[in-house]
Amino acid sequence: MGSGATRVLAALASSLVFGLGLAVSGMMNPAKIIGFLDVAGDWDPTLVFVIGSALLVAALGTGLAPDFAFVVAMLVGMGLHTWLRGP
Amino acid sequence: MQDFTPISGFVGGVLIGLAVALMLLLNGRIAGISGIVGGLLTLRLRDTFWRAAFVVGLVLGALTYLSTAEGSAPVRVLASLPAILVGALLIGFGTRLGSGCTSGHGLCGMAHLSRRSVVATATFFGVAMLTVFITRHVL
Repeated sequence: MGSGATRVLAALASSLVFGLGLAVSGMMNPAKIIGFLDVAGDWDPTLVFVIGSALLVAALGTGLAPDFAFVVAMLVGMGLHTWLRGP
Repeated sequence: MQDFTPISGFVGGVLIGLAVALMLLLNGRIAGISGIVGGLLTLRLRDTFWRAAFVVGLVLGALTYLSTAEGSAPVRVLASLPAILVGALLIGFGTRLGSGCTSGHGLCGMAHLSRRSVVATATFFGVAMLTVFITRHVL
């Protein structure tokens, strides 16, 4: 898609957000990564949250949106039923 | 548990997922960092510019946060220089051998429910956990 300049700008925009996300999540710190890998020591599950939320947003943004919309709508329907039926 | 930071982890993950979606929607490309960097070595000038732009943006985005008050916590690499060099060599070779790394397989591939990416991610995280277990608790 697009000319050379568009590609460069798109790559720059994406990677700026990517780098910001890496830094915010603490995943630039090797100690956090080793803390996650060290399941037998002081386990640090932060990486699970990083990958979990990243996967959710990436999947929503790149084609699996209908699948997620289906699941969310189904859950809302279930919630509505529970709410209408009362406690 | 030590140093568990779920909120910043969640916020950072949302940003990374946004970056992956942005790259695919605007550029039609997988935001796999090892693939983008490794592709710089093939000297296809048409692709060199956007690849270089991605690398520059990645560093700038991270530095922007590290220059703020919240992000100023020191990141220190405690390994010796020989260990860093051997580790980096293995990372470079291994990510190309496995056709991707945490970002390409673990995020972009798994977001598409790609079977080979799920297998690759389970393999490298599993082996990495085993390695840390052996080096920290057995040796």
